[in-house]
Amino acid sequence: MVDKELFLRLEEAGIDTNEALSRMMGNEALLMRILSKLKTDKNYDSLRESLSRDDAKGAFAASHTLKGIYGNVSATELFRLFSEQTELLRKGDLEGGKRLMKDIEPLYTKLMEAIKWEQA
Amino acid sequence: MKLDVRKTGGIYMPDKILIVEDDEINRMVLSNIFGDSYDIIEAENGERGVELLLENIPSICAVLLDVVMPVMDGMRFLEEIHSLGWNGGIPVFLITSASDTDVLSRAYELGVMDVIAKPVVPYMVRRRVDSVIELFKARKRLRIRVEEQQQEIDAQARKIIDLNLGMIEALSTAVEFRSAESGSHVRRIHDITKTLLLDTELGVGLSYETIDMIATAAIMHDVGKIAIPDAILNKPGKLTKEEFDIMKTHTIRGGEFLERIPQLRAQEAFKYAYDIARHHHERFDGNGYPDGLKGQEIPLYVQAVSLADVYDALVNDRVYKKAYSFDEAARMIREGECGCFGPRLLGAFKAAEPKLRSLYQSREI
Repeated sequence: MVDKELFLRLEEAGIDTNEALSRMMGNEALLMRILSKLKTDKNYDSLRESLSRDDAKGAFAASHTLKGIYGNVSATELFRLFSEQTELLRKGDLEGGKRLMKDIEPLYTKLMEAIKWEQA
Repeated sequence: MKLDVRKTGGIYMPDKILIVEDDEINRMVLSNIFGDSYDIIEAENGERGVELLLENIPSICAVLLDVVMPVMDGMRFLEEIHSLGWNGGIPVFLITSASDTDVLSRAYELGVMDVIAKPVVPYMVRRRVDSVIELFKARKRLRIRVEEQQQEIDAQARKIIDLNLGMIEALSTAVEFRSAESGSHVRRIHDITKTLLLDTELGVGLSYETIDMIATAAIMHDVGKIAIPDAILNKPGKLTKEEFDIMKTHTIRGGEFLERIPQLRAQEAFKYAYDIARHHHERFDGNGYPDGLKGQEIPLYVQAVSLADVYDALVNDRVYKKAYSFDEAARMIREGECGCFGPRLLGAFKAAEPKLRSLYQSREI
């Protein structure tokens, strides 16, 4: 039984815990396992790196994957931003992609903070 | 190949879902949704997906396929399995965030069952996949049931045919019985007729079923004898002209008799049976009875039965004579001493004679 406080923190970090939990069929342990995996995910770094090298294709791939990940955990706003970024990068719009990082960065950081407590 | 299937009502039903998806979290989510009812196997790209599919074909009931994957993406996976002979027998569901309608329409062209959006909503993806799996299972059960029933019908049809044959033989044997012939006479007529049609050019253009039918019809060639008085039928000496005239009517009587049986008229074999009964004493030179048919007017299958009748009479004892040897009988037929046959029949007889002889030698007369 996961404590309410944790769920509140996740909510504040932008995660719709109800929706996420229902996607996991009510399996809290599974949700926790998936959230821990976010900590070791390399795609965000890959995204930043590709953008700095003006690699639209690489950035697109990373953004697309991130969209999937944050969609799954119902990080609603991040999902929306990554979706938008994916479409821009798909068309090769690097500037558009880079611009969105302004909104993405703080949300991402906050979420990483919220899941820092994870044990396993 | 692992045959890891569960029985459902006596029929093996596949129970594995193959998930082809590069993102581990997506795989976990999907696996969790379906894991309680199905065994899950996972591939992280299309290439591995193809391998696993091939390894597990009999036990996979659905494939959940992502589009964007390294090494081999979803569309190439579909093209690959297509070229390997997949034609939708295992349903494939695209699980994708792709909104590109070209991609989707190509996917449908390639036979994808349904496209499900990411991030998934569990009850929706579950319902849509379950429904299709259930549909495929129902189809399979139905197909198997139809095959079983078809076999049952075939078995029944076979029984009915056997019964009919039994009745026909019984009837014909009963008729022959009156003239103190052995019951195997009708059998031999059947076998000789069949051999003449099956093993020579006479039967070219006739299907096996038709030849079988003609041989069966041949059994009844002498049913008309039922209308002939004992005194004439079993007279040991030569018949007077009046007696012979009466004897000759067994051909017409036979045809009439067969016409009177309603079930027989409905059979395909009726036409053959009637012709054979009425015309098996015609002669190629037109001097036969009852209608004096000549040459080609006499159907080949009737000539075949006539020859069978003559041959059997020659090589067996009869009330009015003793049996001839096979060589003597063959000579008499060839030289027109007994019966009168056209060149095609004589040619066929020459070709089949060794086999006919051996039919007799391999059984008691």
